[in-house]
Amino acid sequence: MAATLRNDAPLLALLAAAAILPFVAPSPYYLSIGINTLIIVCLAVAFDLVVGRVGALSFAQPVFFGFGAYVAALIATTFGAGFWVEALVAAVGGFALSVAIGIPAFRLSLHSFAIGTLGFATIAQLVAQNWMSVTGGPLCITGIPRAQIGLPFAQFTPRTLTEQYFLILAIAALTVFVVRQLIGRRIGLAFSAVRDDPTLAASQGIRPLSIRLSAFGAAAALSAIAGVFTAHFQGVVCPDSVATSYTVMLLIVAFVGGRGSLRGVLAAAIIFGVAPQLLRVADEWRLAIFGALLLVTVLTVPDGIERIFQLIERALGLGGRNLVPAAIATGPAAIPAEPAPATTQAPVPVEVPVGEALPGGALQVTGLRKTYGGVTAVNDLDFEVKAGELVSLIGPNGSGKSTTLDCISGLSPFDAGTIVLDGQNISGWSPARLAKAGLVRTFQATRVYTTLTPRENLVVAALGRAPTLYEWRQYARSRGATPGLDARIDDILGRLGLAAMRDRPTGELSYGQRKLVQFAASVIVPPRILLLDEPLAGVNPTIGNIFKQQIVAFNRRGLTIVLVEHNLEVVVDVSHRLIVLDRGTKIAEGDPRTVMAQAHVQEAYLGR
Amino acid sequence: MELLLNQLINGLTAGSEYALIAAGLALIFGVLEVVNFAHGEFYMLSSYYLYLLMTRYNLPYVVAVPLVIVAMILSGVIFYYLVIRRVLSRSWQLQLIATLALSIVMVNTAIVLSGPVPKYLESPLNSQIVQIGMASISVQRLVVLAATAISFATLYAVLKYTRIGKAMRAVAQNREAAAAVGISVEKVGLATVVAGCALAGVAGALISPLYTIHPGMAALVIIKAFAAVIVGGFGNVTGAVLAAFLIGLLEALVTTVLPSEYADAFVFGGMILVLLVRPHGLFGRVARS
Repeated sequence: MAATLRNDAPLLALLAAAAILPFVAPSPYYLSIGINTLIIVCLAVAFDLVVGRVGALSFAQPVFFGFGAYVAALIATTFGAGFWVEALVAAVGGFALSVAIGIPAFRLSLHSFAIGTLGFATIAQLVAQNWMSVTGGPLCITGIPRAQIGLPFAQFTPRTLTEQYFLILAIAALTVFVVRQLIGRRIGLAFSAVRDDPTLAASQGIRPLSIRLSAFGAAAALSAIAGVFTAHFQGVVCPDSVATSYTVMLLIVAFVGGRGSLRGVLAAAIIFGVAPQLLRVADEWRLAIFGALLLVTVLTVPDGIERIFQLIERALGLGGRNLVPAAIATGPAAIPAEPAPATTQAPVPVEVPVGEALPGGALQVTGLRKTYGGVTAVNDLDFEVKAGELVSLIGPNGSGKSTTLDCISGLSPFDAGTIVLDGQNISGWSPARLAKAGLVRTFQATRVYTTLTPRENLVVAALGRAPTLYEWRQYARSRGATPGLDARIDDILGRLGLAAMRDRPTGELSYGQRKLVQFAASVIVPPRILLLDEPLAGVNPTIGNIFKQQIVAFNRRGLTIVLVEHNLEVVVDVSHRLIVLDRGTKIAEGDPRTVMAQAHVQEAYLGR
Repeated sequence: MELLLNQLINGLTAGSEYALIAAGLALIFGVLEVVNFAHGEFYMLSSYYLYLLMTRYNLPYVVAVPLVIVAMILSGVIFYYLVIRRVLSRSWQLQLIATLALSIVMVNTAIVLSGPVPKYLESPLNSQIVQIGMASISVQRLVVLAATAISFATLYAVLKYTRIGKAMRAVAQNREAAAAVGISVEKVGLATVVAGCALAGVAGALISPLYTIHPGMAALVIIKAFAAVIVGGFGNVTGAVLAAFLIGLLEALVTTVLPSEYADAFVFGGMILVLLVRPHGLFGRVARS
């Protein structure tokens, strides 16, 4: 509670300062600046949910703002149902519209998403301009009366500028509150996960589309409510209100503020609400100066105002976790050159508690074929893994091992074949669905959520593996500790020698440690079958040894494992059975030592 | 029939405009993975260069056009060193914002310096009409088509046969590997950006006599060029060019039956439909992992 209060104190102070402004500076000039600034605050804070939190650059934000404005204008000028109905219709309609736009747009790569949403924004503007019978086109909707806000005891109609100011201040406070609630809960972790690595998220059972749509939809609903206010405030709504030019301003605020940083975005929104008035002297050059300012900011301070906040905090000796890790703005953090020496690691208990695997895990792959263009990566592959078995797939580079894993785990669609898990045909299932069914994989290159801590990485993985309904109920819970899950997380991290790293950003960990985090995430909820893609590649011998011991220990507890690995010594040591691939086909199968002794296997590896 | 032929030529002219701009966009994205939101403004810039050369210095059109291309090459060099080189290793969002910021600066500087009032340029070729079958077509439009064809033939030859072109393709496939074998990413980046700007320059110099010149002239054009780049498969230059012509022709055909405002909605609706069916575009290059 005390901690919450400390975190909220600056925001509450800001709110208090905003609330006394009309009494300190009651002139209409200052109040109008204040109202416009608060509109920008609403839009920018909502927008950052999309740009900063889930990492999707949307140009469609003004569409929802304009949608809200038109909804309010139409309702108020026809049957006048009052503010609450307008806000509800705008929020629900804005959410629905965002889902309708988001479902096709999020199918695209994120680059194309940006341009796809720009296309939607253009269409929206054309509709507003040309659908004369509804929007009035360029003639606008005029004569919108003041908002009629029904309160339990009376009807409130903001008439004076001061009253208008307090209305938008309340809406801005609501927007900040909602956004803070979202990011302060577990769904905030899912936002970060999907931003950091959507492929990993999908392979852990989290559906990136649903998570992105949640953020996109919440932002749309909040922007639409700000639009309702604006329609009543201005008394007129024109096609300009859906103009893409708003996006430019929002992008400036988000980037100058520092994406994913609430305080940075708030600071930038206030600056950009007030600054245009200061730039009045250079009126005609105003927008050009804006652009230049943005250009200089992104070129010199890519993390924006948030960076300045952090520097001030450091100077004052206030630690505290970075709210916007540099990795978001400046791309992936450099991977430390060498895995850190493992001397600090505690001795690793090799025993694994009972119950580390769901029963089952029998896998049958029949006639699997996958081609890339003209190259057949996997050709008519058949193999079987029995429940509880540890089978290794080996073969020279390019023999189709990783492709096989990609096909089984749903990451790449395949051209022919069937995959059956415990008697159920799982061909064509999405990665998320497979993960929820207990088919879990790791990746050869380390994949972790770099801006989250190892603990949070594991929380996300545990949520993803849960059944969908339970997953979404969990999203509403606080990000803080939960006894059962945290005990398990501490246990697993401890066993892997990562206890000391628990609450540091995973991006700061060494390559090998990140690989261990990824492994921990794959077993945080006991899988039915675990597919490991070269766990030992690129890690130092100490961590390699941890992996080897853990693989054996988990398998002894009944976990079915398919291992792809180049370290043949380890493979021969741990596997029950080997399957050798060469150019996409199986060339040998059986007991490790027997298989390795076969002449054509050695040939495939070493050449004739 | 006459109308259809005229619309066909109109569609091809508009397609050329989109294609020249889309090709530059796709090239810069394909080689450097940078989405250049300022690309449309280079098209606008070249039109103003042409206007300046022809009205202030009274140069004839044929002399002004090559000078515009030279000016665009120089602008491309400045653009590369001022913006692109500094954001090359940054995240794509940051690159996008940097180029977007530059576009804001360029548009608004143009508004201040030239005013928002459209300017007209008279090319002598515009008033000359040739009769093809039943349709009468201005020579300017034929020049546009010929120059577009020459531009793309040159681009193709450069990419296919020259050292720098091969280096560009190498960087496009794998920047790290190309750098590792000694290809200067810096030079390739410069060449790519300059080529993109030169193509936008060709578009501006050829097409602005047909339309009007104003600071916001690139706004709709660039969105269509982006549509072409997406539909063509992001970073696929040939795909972008084909898609651009497709969009130009589609627009011309739609305007024969619908008011022109709806043609735009039609184009974007079409783009979204294509993407629903094929998320990687018609001629898709699957995104590199």
